[in-house]
Amino acid sequence: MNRTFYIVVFCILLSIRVEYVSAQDDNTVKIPIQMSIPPAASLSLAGNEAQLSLNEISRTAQILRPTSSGQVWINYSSVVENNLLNTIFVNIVSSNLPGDIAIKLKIGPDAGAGLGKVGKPSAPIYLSIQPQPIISEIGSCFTGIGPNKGHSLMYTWELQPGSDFNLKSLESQNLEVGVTYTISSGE
Amino acid sequence: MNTSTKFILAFCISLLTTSLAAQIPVSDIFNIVINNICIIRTSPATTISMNMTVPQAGKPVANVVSPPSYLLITSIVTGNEKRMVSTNVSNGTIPRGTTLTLAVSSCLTGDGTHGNTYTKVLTVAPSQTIIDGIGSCYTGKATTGEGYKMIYTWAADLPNYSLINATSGSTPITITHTISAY
Repeated sequence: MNRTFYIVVFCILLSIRVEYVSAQDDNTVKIPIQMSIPPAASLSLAGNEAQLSLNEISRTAQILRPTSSGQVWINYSSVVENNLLNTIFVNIVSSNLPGDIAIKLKIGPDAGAGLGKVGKPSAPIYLSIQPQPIISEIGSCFTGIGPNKGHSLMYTWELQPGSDFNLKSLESQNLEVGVTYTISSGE
Repeated sequence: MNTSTKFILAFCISLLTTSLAAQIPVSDIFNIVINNICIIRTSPATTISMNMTVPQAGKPVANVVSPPSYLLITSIVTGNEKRMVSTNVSNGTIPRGTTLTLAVSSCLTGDGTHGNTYTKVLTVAPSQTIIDGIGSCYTGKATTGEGYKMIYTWAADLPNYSLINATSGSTPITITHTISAY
């Protein structure tokens, strides 16, 4: 074996390095967690008025009658995706009102019993078959549950001038209006 | 010296030799080395899935509580050395408007100086001390209930509720527990 051979062997041995790599340090441990928050939008009515539940978390319904008294509150919870907002709409789904009777809806501000970015009420509206926004700019928030929480809803029955009815006789009529409230991210 | 004296002297010397031979001690010498040991793991070590939802219209998102897992350690310290376990969010961030809290219960199994346990809100930085005062001890290998019980609670940070955003799918984070001397 000549000198060259030994030099080559030496170089090969020098280049082989066996490293022991530990897959995990003994003194640490890592725990993986998967965290998810789905978007959420739900609402319900509170108060002693006749209510129908539609069995959907983002819609609720109510029957209005001239004899209805007392106040209704609308409670809701919302978790929005980044930069999105929810809105609550109302529309009539059934009505036997004659044309010269209208229902005006006045929406109060949030009662402050919840937290987060609660919505802002619109100006009073006349209920119609077309959905109209009544509470908007709802971010991630909750209003609390029950009367005196969320926003108050006040209905006023109005007669057009020259109507054959008067307010007293309204109560003897079987007038019923079904309305639906919906919370969603908009059109 | 006459013959009998020589004989007696020889006899005495032989006795002496014999008794000396019976008294020579034999010994092995051991060098004893106890390694400084510091090992940590958890059981189970699988991914924890947490989903934060609204339970009812008008209510906030509900707290998400993990099933219990157990922190297992074996520790041998030098002299009065004490060790601690510190924890941080080592990868990813906790979604805004929420907090992740880790509650650690005292270790009732195994033996030795297990130290004190704490409940802490976990952050990216600084690391939070969840156990301190650990001396030489072991916890056992977590046939159910051995070790320090750990429960993670993920909750809305109510004063910052408006900051909560829905996640796109799920957000992965990693919690790292480290045992070290202090």
